[in-house]
Amino acid sequence: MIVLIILAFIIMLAINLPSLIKSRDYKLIIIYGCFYTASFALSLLLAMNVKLPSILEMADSLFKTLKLSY
Amino acid sequence: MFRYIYNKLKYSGFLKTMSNAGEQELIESKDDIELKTITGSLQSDLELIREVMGTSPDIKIHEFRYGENCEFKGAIIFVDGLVSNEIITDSILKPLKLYRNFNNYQQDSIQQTLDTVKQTIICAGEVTEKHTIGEVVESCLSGDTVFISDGFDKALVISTKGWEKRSINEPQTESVVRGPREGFTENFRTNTALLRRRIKSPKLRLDHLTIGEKTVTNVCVAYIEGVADPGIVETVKARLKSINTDSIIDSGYIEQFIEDHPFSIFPTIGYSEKPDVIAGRILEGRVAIISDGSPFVLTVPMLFVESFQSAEDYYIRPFFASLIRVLRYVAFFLTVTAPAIFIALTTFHQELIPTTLLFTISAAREGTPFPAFLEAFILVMSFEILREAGVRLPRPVGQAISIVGALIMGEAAVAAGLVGAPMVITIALTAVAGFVVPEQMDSAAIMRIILLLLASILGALGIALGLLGILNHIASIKSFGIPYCTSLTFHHNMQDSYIRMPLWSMSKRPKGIASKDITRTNMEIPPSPIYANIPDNK
Amino acid sequence: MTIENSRISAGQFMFSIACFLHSSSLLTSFFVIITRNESWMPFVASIIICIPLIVSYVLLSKSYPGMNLIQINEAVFGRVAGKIVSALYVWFFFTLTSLNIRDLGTFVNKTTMVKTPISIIIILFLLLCVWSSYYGLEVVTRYSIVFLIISCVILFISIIAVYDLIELDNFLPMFDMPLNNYVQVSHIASTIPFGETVIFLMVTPYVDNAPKNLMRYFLGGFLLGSILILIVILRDISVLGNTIQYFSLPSFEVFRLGTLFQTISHMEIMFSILLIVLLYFKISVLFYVTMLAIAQLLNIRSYRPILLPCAALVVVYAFTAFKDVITHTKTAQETTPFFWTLFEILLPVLTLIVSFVKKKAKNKNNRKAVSK
Repeated sequence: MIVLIILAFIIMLAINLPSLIKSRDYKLIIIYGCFYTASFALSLLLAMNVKLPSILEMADSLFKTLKLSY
Repeated sequence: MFRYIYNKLKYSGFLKTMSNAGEQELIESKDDIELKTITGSLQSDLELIREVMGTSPDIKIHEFRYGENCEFKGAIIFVDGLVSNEIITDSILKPLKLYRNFNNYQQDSIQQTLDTVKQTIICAGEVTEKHTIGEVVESCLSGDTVFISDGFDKALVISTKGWEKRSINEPQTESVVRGPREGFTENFRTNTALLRRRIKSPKLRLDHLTIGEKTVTNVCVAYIEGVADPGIVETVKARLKSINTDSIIDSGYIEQFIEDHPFSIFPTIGYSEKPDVIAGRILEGRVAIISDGSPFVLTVPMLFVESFQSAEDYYIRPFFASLIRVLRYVAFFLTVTAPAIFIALTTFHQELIPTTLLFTISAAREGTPFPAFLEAFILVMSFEILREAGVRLPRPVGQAISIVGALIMGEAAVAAGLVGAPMVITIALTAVAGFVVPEQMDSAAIMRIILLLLASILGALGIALGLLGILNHIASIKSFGIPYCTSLTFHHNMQDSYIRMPLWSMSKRPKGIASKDITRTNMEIPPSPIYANIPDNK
Repeated sequence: MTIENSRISAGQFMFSIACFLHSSSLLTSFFVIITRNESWMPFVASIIICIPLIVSYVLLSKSYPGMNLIQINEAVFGRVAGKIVSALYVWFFFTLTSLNIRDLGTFVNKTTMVKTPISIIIILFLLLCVWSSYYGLEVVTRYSIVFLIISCVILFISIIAVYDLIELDNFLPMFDMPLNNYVQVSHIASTIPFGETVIFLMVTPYVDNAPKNLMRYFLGGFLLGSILILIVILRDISVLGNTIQYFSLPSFEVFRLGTLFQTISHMEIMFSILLIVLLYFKISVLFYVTMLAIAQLLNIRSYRPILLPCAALVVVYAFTAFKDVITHTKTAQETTPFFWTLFEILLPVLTLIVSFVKKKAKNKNNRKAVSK
């Protein structure tokens, strides 16, 4: 599973990187890099069955403590 | 190896290099000899021409003397087989050799003598003057006769085209039950004449170009000025002028050089072999491209719905035409998805088949050795082989081979248990339905195989994904600026897409294709019977 | 700045809103479980409540013509606060996309392809959405009318198929439940299907003939979509009655019960096709709007390069948002209405009020400057 994820991300890089470098828009490349590393890291963590915190569940408990629920 | 990969990437457009200078050295420039002008001396001119054209026996050079006392030397050059010998004898040689009024040669200038020959002596319809050897050779190879003479620094080119042509008969690919049966031929002038006979308006413009270094093919762009969008006309001309190749043998070459999306499976340039179809499309605002040597005339821009419109639809009444139109859409859907749906239902979703049919199908599939996908794939491929072989069969053998095909593939394979009968029926239906929409047959074949693959992996979800992907692709391509799926999604121009509205109600030309002259007719109400008043005879 | 170059026609806009809303008709289980056979009443109430909400969206869009939601936020709240508000919106759009695609994956997994892992289904659909978003707004919303027509045809066929099972007695008893339930259902219905139309504020600048007739088209699309959901709810209640609370997909059961011509039964395949097609449309619009919002927020030239990494993020988010479907449904009934209210009602109305105040202050300043 992890091998497939790594393969998929390498393919993604191969598709996107040439046109990004040719355009020489450094801001875009940095933002792309941020998204890429974030998604790569999170997918690897998910594949290794690490439990990631869920914002929606935290908001759920927050609203319940505020008594704003049915 | 890296150079190999680099070349492949360059070809696919991934790495567009910064400068394109010096890359496209495909076409050699004209030889210097062809830029030489005609000198006054006959012998040196003839030598230059012989050097350029070579010494094949069908290039005839006839030297003769003319004038009152046979004092002038002249020569005509023509290519045997391309010219009509009567015109040469009657219009060029006889008048030249029999003219007896060169009284004042000494006083006349050379130019006046040339003018006399051109305007008074030669009796042909079209006489022009050319200066360079290159132009002379080009006219000669197009079927004109060239006349040069001692002392003249220009050559006279006389139009004498007359070669063997195919007569006009019904095109084999587009036959109709009701409607005209003329078809374009390979001769350029016949094609333009057929178009002019349909549209007698003086606004029909035929703009002429030549494309192709070695074939020097005549191409003309036909449109109606005031109706066709000028942007599209200019785009077509610009793209045609930018074609940089050495041979244009058929209009299919032109299509592949100027199309918008060369990597898409859908054709974005339409074609037809019938003049009434092309005339109808030109009148809607499209631009037609007629090419010498090909009976197929291209029309631009093409929409997806055009493949479902046949000429006959407009000559019969709207109700039956609408029914047939809807049938074509259903047939296209069948031909693309029937094998895939069959595979998906029998492999993944057996609960959807009604029970009695389920028993029949499972009994048929009981003894077959191959998995369903392989069976379907083999049958689809065998059908493509049969179709291809059928096109190239020599006529004496055709009958025998078709029997063999039907018997072997139909009867024997099913009886031997190699394939199941329901599968053969499905694939046969698919194949026959594919002929209903001939213009999209190539794209339908590819889509069929892709959907078959997806259905065998993912079942109904695969078919859904495949169809959504195809719809996305159709939505994203444009044909010369017009979206390809116009008239499919109910925005505008719906009068002629899924059903055919009556002719008197189609009062506007398609929006987006025709620019200025949008209104076609003023009627818009059903025709009512008008009786002429017959005066009583009292 | 122009990130998006294409323009869509007003009719396409209206029908894409209608198709977007109609796709929620297949997942009505959130609120139908609570007020079982009386769900249509709070639903009608929520339609009436949401009309002023839609009007406020259109007014907001009209007061800043040619600017989409992120640009409006920056213009109203200033640069820093505007970017914070826009970031909240971007998170909201992201969450909507992930939740919807999780729903689609779960449905396909549980009903048709039982053994396929959900991630594969989600990844395949997202790849299609990425492909259509790459080409821009026009391709994304191109087939809205066609999908709507197909779904209306299937709706009509289903009503004919279950005609003999419809019993008007299933609508009784009425007004039997505590008032809290009705309020809850109206709240859910106005935030989960209807409030999500706030995403169309990102699309309004790119509509032809905007902003003159925007009110007509936005309201028209909203009413068309919501009336279609109402018809679906009425059909479900009249066939299933009180048992509607036991099913997680009531429409699925209705299709399962219907027969046509005594041979064509088990028409749930039509429901599956409809669900896949409509939810795909909804997810594709949501994904496109998310990408556009991210690109607008971060002020980059075009959203095309970041399509694929963001798709991967959506997949990850879809799996981590909720543990399982039951938690998702429970949360959707209890706290999500309040959470979404913040984004769909409070924030846009706040933006509208602040923009009015600002315009009044500017007019007063102008009048003072003129009179001086």
